[in-house]
Amino acid sequence: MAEGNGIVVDQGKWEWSEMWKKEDWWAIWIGFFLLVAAMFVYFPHSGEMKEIINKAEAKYGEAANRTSAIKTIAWHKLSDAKKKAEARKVSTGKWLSSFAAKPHKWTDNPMDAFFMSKEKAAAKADKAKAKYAKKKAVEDAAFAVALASEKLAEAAGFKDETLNASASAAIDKWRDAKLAASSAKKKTKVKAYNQIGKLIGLGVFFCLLFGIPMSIMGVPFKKFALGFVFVYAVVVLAWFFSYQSTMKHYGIGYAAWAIFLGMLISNTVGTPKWAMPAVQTEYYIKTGLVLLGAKILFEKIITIGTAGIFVAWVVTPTVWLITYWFGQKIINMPSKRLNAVICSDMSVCGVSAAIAAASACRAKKEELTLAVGLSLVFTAIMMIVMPAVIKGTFPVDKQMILGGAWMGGTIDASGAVAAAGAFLGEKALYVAATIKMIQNVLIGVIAFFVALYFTTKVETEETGAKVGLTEIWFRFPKFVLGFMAASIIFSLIYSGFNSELDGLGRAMIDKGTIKGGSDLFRGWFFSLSFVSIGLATNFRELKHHFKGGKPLILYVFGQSLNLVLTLVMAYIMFYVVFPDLTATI
Amino acid sequence: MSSEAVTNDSRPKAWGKLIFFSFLIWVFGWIVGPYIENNISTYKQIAQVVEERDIDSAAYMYMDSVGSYDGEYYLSDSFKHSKRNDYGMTKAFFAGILSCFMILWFGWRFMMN
Repeated sequence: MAEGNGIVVDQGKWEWSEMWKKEDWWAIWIGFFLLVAAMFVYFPHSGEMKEIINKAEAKYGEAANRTSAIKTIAWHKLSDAKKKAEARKVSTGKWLSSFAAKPHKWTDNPMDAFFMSKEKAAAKADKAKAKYAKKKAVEDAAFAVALASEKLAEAAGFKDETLNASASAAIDKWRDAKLAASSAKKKTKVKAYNQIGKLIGLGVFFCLLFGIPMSIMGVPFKKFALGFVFVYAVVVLAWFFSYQSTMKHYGIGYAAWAIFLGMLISNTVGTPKWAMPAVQTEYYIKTGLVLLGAKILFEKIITIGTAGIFVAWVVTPTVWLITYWFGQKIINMPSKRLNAVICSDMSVCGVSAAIAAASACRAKKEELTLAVGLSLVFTAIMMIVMPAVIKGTFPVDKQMILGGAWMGGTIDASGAVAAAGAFLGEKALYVAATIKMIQNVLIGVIAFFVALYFTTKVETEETGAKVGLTEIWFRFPKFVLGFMAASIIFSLIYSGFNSELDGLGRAMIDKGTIKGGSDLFRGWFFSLSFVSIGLATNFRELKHHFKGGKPLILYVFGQSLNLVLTLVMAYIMFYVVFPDLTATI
Repeated sequence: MSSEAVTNDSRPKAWGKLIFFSFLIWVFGWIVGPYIENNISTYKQIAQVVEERDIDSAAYMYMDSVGSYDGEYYLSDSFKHSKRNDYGMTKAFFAGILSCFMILWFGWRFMMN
């Protein structure tokens, strides 16, 4: 191992024992262990999912396909019925979901995060029932109007454009009302809970999952377990704060809280020495990233068609490269790694891209903290400003699609994109969230590109050593291979299911193995890594990286470029090149 | 208790700082945060939407956000339903993907040395 400027660079020969002595490989083993376990749980239920989808097709299929001029009520009902096919709803899935659940949402009473009595749950449900009744009445009225409008359009053979437009508008209103009623209905199903026992059980599971490999890597299990109690307690605290309703509204999520609480402890009373064996940032983060790979499904990039691919996959690498160049050549960023991490979180998709890029280029923890911090601050601002600007300045007919695509391509975090999109309306939410989803798929490409660039170019400059193929293999962060492998394997399985029956991929992979398996643990692993980052971060060191405000200048330059290019590209693609396709949305 | 403190503060001062910052969290979460939320109309409306739709506005990945799934279903089903031949694995679509890799290659070759 050679160390230069605090960056650890591996140099040496490949040895097979690395596969059980290095955290990169253990990240792959643990990640795939969880993924395979989830496949064992859900894949035997594919028959049940097929049955649900086939039943939906039999019930609504013919009526849904009687015209392609508008999306009829039957078309929406077919879509709703097919959505009910979710493998994670089998009994084991429900148990897993309850076992790995985070603290609950709370407003004023902190105990609500962990415990709710039957009486309180019943009172909440009663309150929600009254609201639901009102929303249901609105939905029923909207449905009656939609049905009447559709009948009129159908009587004209769906050939009268005015009647079609009127039916579509009435159906859209019914959908909005139905959505509001569905959300209200969910709140009537409040049940009593006691999360404390489950959180302890989950902590024990994680301790074994990470502790046993640690003992193989040379850290005594007892020492790790003792430290893990502390790290896990801070993680639970971070989730607890992130689920407070005001924090949720501001989009201050677990990553911000985990880093903040960790730093607060380490920079005031200090991280206890006995906790340090469990402060394993890289180990947790890489395992989370392998799980993340499984949800990077390539088929999804087709969702919004060619216009979407140009907005998400052409603008993003352009912004990444120009911003990186700006950082190196114009403002002379002292750290190429910090430059790369900021470029990734700003141009791709915020925290998750920052994590992947930071691990791929072996950035310092302070550099990741800084990049994540910048992203979170700008996300909170853009979540408010962008919808207001769109509403105030965009032509009404372009607010939903153009506005949605603009926000999806520029706001960093998915949750903030959804909130800002929902503020404008249903279609804006769908377009924004889908553009963001396509950008999320780009994480794998960018992480691979960054890993290759730093392995073959930057580290060569730093060490002065020539790089052959063997050396590239030796230095290349192996977890990136696990991440890519998970992505490719699950993309193939997903497409395989879909080619067997349309919608089966969603039921088995999206809403099965991923949502009911890897997703349950990924957030926990990332929060463990963020707490570890905080617990090992010196605030003074962070200030040193921020010297001269260069990271801020870099972020502002990159995001401004991103805003301009995304808006121009979205307009050209959705309204100049593919206007007919846009009209279909 | 031995600890990895990164400052040279005395124990009482260190604990004092910890308590002070914890107090600031409380001030933000229960006083400043709700005040801003209630006095900036866009914020207020977004908070209402977030509550009504149960959106996880702090989600970092698309799978954590309800809208992504619904959006994906809605859009892909809409395009399939319209039976258009300019949707799907078209040449233009592949041109988009190819452009992405071409841009990265260009950057690798000419911008990142």
